Amino acid sequence: MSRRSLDETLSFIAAVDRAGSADAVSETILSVVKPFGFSQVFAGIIPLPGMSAQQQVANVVLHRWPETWSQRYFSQGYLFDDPTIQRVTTSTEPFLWSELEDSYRESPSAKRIMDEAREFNLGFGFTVPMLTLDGQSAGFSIASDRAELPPNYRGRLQLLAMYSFGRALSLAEMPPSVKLTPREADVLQWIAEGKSDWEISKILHVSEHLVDKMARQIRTKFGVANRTQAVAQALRHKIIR
Amino acid sequence: MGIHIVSAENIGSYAEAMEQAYRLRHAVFVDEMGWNDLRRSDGREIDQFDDGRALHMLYLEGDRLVGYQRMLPSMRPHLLSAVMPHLCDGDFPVGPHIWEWTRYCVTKEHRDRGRMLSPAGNLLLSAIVEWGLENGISKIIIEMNPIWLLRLVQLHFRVTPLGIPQEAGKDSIVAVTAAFDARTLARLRSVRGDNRPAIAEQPVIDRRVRA
Repeated sequence: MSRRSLDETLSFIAAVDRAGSADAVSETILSVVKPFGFSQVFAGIIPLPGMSAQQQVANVVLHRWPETWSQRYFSQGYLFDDPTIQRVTTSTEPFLWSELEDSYRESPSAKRIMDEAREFNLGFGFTVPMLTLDGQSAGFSIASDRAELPPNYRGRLQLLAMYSFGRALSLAEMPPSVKLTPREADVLQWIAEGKSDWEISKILHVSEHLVDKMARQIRTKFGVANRTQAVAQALRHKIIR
Repeated sequence: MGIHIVSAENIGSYAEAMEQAYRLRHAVFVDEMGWNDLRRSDGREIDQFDDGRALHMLYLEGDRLVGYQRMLPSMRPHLLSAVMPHLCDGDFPVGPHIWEWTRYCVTKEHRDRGRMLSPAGNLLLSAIVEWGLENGISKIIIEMNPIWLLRLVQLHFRVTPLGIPQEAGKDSIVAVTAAFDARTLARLRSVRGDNRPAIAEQPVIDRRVRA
């Protein structure tokens, strides 16, 4: 069982590493958590008190959350009364939102936020607190109106959260023009392994001409003069490994 | 000032500093973190892995110890294989290029400020990477709270879990390997804002004798 959990987690990490956009990262997460009933994912760096709504939105890293809820949440400044945010900034352990109920029983504003979230089909959630290199708190949440989470999945989701968030952050640092198609990423991965165009064409079952064409497209996308630089860039940005 | 690497070859010259190291280990792991199994009446935390093959990395400011960590070769018994094998669901990572990072600690005054990676922590990590790149070591085994995982990823370590995080008291613990290369060192140095080597002193190894 534990070996299988590990293997599944390792395949998930590989899939996240291949994701070319924050949205693709979200997609990968949702495909894993859907069997438990989770349909939404949200992750971001926790804004400091006093930050404007716009600055708060800029801190969002992954967003597959009901759009109307996010608009309401940020424009109403819910963030600073949200009990899940309070917990993220004070604890390192993942938690179910239902485990926080005792902590906000006395706070009408916190209770209102959680009740309203339920109306937007975010009644059941699970959050993983994180800590960035800069020392900022960050949170990763999955939610839906109804879901369940076997206790032994918490650790797996904690790993899933960290890798997803790390990948999304590094994608955010990347120049937006550099987005490779999955096929281009494959080609570049094989170039990085030292394979010739002919070898790559055999591996991927395409013509040698197409491999050469894709290699040139990749160079253009990175704005570099040669394949080595493209590989270096791609490694730096973890497009390939 | 900087990191001093202490092995069987040069431990004789570091008697006083090693004394501080064993006491800092006891203060941090037993008194602060409550690892009571390690408690010793003399206030010096020393275990079965502190033998001739362990490598101690001491962060010294003058004669004063600021931080400490210990590296153990994966080819011999180490914490993951001997003490915490339940954290490893697959095969144990073993090889001359893999060492285990243990007993990382920094004095209270030099800890993370506002939860940022402290300069002392950065210097100790940088020393591992510098030492690894020079000696053909490319991967370290770590048992840690999963909260640090994101930070390592952001520092350009390629972190691979060896198991699923498990509860240990009120905290979680996970075993990982963290692979590094020259980019990791560049990243650590740019975060620190200092391009100078972290390692100040290391044992002189007579390579002719080794060969």
